[in-house]
This record gives sequence, C-alpha cells and structure tokens, in this order.
Amino acid sequence: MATEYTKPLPRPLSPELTRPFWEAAKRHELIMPRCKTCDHLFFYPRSECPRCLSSDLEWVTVSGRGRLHNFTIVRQPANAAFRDDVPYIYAVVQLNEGPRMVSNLVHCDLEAARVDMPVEAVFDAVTPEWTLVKFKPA
Amino acid sequence: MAIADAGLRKADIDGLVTRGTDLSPFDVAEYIGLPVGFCEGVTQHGASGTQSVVVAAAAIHAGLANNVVCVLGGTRDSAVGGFGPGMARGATPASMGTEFEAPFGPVVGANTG
Repeated sequence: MATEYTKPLPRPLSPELTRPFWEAAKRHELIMPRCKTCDHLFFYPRSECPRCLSSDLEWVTVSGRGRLHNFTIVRQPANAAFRDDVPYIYAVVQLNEGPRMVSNLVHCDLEAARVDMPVEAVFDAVTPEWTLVKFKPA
Repeated sequence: MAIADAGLRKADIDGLVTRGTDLSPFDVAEYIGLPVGFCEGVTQHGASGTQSVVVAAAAIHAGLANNVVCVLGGTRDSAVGGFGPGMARGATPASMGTEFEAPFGPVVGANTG
C-alpha cells in the first residue's frame, strides 16, 4: 500500500535549467553540466560555468561511481519529516569525474561508513515525479 | 561582465559584496566559483549600491581584499522569484539548497527549515 511521501522534494528555483538532470534521474542516468569552453565538469547545475563563466554548456553522462568525501550520521533530525529515517547517513560524494554532490549513503551499515570508501549511485523514485540520486557502497 | 569592464580577470577577484537582503554573498560566490577571502552582504535596500562600494572600499583599506566585485541582481518578475528568464544579468538563486540538499535531510545550515 502506498504511503504519502512527506520529506522535502526538490524545489527548483530555475526549473528549465535543472530539468534535464531530474529527467535523467528518472531514467536512472546521472548527468552533469560540462563547459564547452574550458571542459570543466561541475555540479550543481548553473547557467554559467563556475570556472570560466562561459554559458556554452552541455550535459554529459557520468559513471555514478565515486568515493565518500564526508558524511554525518544523523540521529536527531532537523526536519521532523526524517524522524522515521534516523539514524541515516547524510553524505557528500566525490564523483570519479570530479564534481561533488550532496546525497544519502544507503544500504550501508552505519559503522561501516568510512571517508574515501568507494560508492556508486542508486536511483530512488520517491514519487512518480521525482527520483533522487543516492549512493551505496560499491 | 563587471570584472571585464574593470580590466580584470576572474582570478584577480578576492572580494565580493552583494545586496544581502535578497542575494546571499555566500551563494553568489559558490555559484560563479569565486574563492573569495572577503564576502559580505549589505542590507540597505535602495541604498545598497552605494553602500556596497563603501563596504568594498573599507575592506580594501583594511587589507582584507584587493579587488572586490559588488553585485546587485534581481528581477521584476515575481513569477520567477528572482531567478530565471528575464533575470538581471548576474543574478543567482537565493540558494540551491532547496533543490539539491534539502531532499537528503541536512542537519545544519539555513536549508533545514
């Protein structure tokens, strides 16, 4: 039986800018913007390259593989919507291709989480409209 | 943009002042990739333009920065919330945290509600 998803969903400030990312996530594909002027691959999506300020950008598919850059084991949720999830792992992942992204480390024993451990993307369709990119031990 | 108008390169910039009432200097620095040593938001609404220059000059005088960019960005279109089509050149979202951080349950910072 479906239960209502009550945790925060992405609220794009510039939907046309980030829509390709979310559409790709629904296809279980991780894409990131790359600058066609200086080749910088970056995240989160922006209208200009944060390295050279060019607005000549393209989307490229990345592997979804990387390493755990840092993490927090959340035992006291700041948002009550996460009350049933604690303890959970709030993570920053360093992708092999370079960019870092905020996510959750899932399918991982809390005590097994280690900085620099290899991780890979998993796609969590939390609602019919939204699929979040999370990570699990690789 | 303003940096080129001043005859400088992006790498020369080590300070940033924004109108902090609607444009967090921290978020702007992150958005456009400026690793600034000095950043501040002024909160003087219509007087923020001149106040930005005052703050920048004070920072330079105090040795906190050498080249400071002063940014005011916004849009008259309430439908885009200050970011989107029709935005002023250089405007950035108030924060991307609601899109790329909040869904994962952050515990610190301004995005946790």
